[in-house]
Amino acid sequence: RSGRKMRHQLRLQTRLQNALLRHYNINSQYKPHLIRDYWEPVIGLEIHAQISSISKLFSRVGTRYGAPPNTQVGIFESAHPGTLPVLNKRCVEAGIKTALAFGATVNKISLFDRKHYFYPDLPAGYQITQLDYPLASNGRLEFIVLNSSLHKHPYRHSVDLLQLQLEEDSGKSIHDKDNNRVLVDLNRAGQPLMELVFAPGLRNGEEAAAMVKEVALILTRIGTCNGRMHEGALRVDANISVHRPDEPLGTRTEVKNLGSIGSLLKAVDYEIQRQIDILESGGNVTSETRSFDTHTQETISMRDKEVIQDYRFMPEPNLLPLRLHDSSEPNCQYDGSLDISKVRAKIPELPEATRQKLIRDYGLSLENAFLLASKDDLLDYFMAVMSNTKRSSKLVCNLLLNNLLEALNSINTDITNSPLSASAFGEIVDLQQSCRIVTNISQQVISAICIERDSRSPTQIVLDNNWLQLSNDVMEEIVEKILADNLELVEKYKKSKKKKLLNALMGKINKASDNRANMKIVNDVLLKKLSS
Amino acid sequence: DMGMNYLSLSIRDVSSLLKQKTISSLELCNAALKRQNAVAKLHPFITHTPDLARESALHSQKRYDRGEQNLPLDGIPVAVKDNFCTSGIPTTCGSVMLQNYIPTYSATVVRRLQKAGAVIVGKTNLDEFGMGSGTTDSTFGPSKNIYRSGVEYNFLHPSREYDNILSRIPSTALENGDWYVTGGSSGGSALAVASGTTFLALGSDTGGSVRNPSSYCGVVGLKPSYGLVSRFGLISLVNSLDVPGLFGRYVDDVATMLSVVSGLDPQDSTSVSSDLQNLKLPENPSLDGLIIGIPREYHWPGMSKEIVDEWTKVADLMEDSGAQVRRLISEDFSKVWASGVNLLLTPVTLSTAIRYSEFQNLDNRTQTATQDICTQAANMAGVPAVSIPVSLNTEGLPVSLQLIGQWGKDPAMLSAAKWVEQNVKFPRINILE
Repeated sequence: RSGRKMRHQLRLQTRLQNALLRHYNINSQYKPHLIRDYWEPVIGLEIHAQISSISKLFSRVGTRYGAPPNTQVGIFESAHPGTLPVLNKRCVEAGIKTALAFGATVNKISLFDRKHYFYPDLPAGYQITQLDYPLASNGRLEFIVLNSSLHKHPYRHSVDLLQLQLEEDSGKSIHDKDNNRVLVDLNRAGQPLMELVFAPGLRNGEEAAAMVKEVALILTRIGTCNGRMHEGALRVDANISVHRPDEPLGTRTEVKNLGSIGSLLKAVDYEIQRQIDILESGGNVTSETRSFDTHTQETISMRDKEVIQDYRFMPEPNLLPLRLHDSSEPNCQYDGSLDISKVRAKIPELPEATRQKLIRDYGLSLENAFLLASKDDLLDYFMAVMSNTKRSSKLVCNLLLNNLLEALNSINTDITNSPLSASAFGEIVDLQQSCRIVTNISQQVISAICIERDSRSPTQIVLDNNWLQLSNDVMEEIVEKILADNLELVEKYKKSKKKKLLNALMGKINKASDNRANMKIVNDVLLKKLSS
Repeated sequence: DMGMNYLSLSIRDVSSLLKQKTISSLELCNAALKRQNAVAKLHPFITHTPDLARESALHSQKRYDRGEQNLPLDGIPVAVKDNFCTSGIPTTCGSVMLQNYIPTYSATVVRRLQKAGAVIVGKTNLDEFGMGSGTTDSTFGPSKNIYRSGVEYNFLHPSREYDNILSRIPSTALENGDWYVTGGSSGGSALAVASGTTFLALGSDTGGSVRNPSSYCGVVGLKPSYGLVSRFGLISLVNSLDVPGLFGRYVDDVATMLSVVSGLDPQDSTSVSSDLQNLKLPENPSLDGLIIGIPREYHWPGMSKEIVDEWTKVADLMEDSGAQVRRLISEDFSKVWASGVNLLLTPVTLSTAIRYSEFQNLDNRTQTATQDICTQAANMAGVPAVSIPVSLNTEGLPVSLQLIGQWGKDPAMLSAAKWVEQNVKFPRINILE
């Protein structure tokens, strides 16, 4: 058995290695995801994404986040007798758009069902959802695990999207323990959700985190969800089990309502370990629903769900089957309420395509491509600067991602409201790229404009402050002077060649030159002089 | 009191009088409210709305005064079953749970009636949440059939040669304080129309809840095709079977009401568009070219002889008038329509109205299952059906029959119903109080 296992792992290794080499020219070992050589964790995620829509899924009531409690509730979502659902067209469009972005098949006919259970924040006693005939099925999500702690290099992974369904959200129950009561806010009741059900193809917390980050990015890019987990716009349930390789899947637990990437990461890894501990001590994992306690950082059982729920699914009798057509198909009958083809035309460039473009066309590293592609305004800024094709993308990235973002951070501003415009930033890039200023000075100009709100142009600031990079002659003079003034230090270095001593000399030179010397060139010159 | 006589007229006739200002909307309204008091012991209404009614009647009167005559139900008193939401008016469904529920919105059919000028005089009694076939299981007490109730009435018949027969039909109260059920669950609405407190009433039909009480109370009861009339604001019993149903004393009146309430409603996703807004049945409908089917499955064991006799009689009458009557039909509706049959003629109930003392021997569930036997099928298939009173039996109780039509062909079915009405000449009840 172990021989077969080893050969299987070897095949996996080779396949993945080749894939990695193809994609990233990285020569890395792909290690299998076994913990203590015994256990294979299996994780499947269900993601609930709130559709960005002005009104709710089945009524015209508003969806604004942060509205005072129970001010966005109408007669339908508070389940007044006699009220009926009317399907929101924009929400269907959003569902179709999302399905297409994940390469899923949009089903021409889908049905709505009632899922019954009793809870104070579900006034009707049932949720309208889609069970067996959802809006879309058979998609696929590819993502990259960027900063893997298990593998020293980024790697690709993919998970199947089993189905995408439209459903309404429930209200919120707020447990007021001090006063021994539960407060119900129905603002969220009836809000439109897309549930994305993924296959159990993940193996640990960091894969789950990377996957959800990519999902949030895609949804934000296509505009169907704002991806704000802290606002509850994206919620993740994780189904987790462990099993020995070559044995059937273990009993799974469901950890519900993970509201941040951090919680997801910790909850998944904690639950895997908890199950392994149980199994290794001879026990059995109970199939149950658990929640994640952010204070203790542990998953805890939700005891009130001991009884297996019978949701008594039935077709929603007040909604017709949702029919769609695709005018790009040859035999289209045009008998649906929406044209899938029209929605397809509205899908913008997806994040992975953007990253590929940045790597291919601008030679960016994977990490930098990730950073830029993760925020539209940052990407726009970059592209604006790079519209001058002579500029070095590497230099632009450095100054943008390291220097400018840090300056903006310190004044609590984002790139959209940057006091330093893209064109002014480009000016700084040009100055540095042409060796007229050094990195230190670039930083100072950025700070001046952003933090001190200096309104002069970068070139003006440099000139006014006499910050131009020192000419090689002047620089050599300074080096000679420092060497002459620090003979002891020079002797010490010549004997020990300690880097610390070299840096000390460099520091003195830098100070003497008012930060205007190009320290790279200084380094070369210094070393040359010291070796003679 | 002349006003009371107007209450037994057809809508067309009373509308002309209103237009000619022979009677005012307010006078008509007051007559209806007075009749309500006279028959209050039969309990047709849960909630009376006399102030609202008078207010509506005043508005109607002003319209007539200004010479505006275009609203089809202007000034006509109507009743609404208490499972239709009416804004600002308690809507109880005959239950404890909703006894204090005052909706903030009105059902679409209610709004359409109001827009057509109708004067709503009250919310009628029903079996709780529509579950029942007697209107005996309401939290607020049962409704009692007007026939043999002790309320004084005689009969009107267009032909004088019947006067002798009519005077011999019993109309006195039953012994021992017993009474006849109205049928259900829309018993209050059927009673409101039969007792002349309103010209029209809204009910709901899920398994026969409009046709059953109209059969027992001797009025016309229409169950429209599913989807023709909006269910928005109708508190549901079974969403996929429920339809708003219509009561009236004349087929033409019911047709007018259908023209007002039918039509696509964006708030009801299961409603369809229709062109019934100007529905007018032919003056003299004929059965020429129609094929009427008599399904043998509807001849249930235990069905009363007088029902079967009337069924045969009307079938013969139709045959004599040029319709082709086919007497052996298979069960499935679509097969029936495909075989060329246009309409089915069947009984509505197994018998005439049942005495209360007998009715409560069976529990609600069993009773309903028995009572719904002739009516349930139309709800399952979503097809239209109408109950028409055809004669009085020896106890002086109405005997009714049912026509069932193809989905969406409500006008054709109503035309045939009007033919039946014109040819059987059902003796009309004339309340003397």
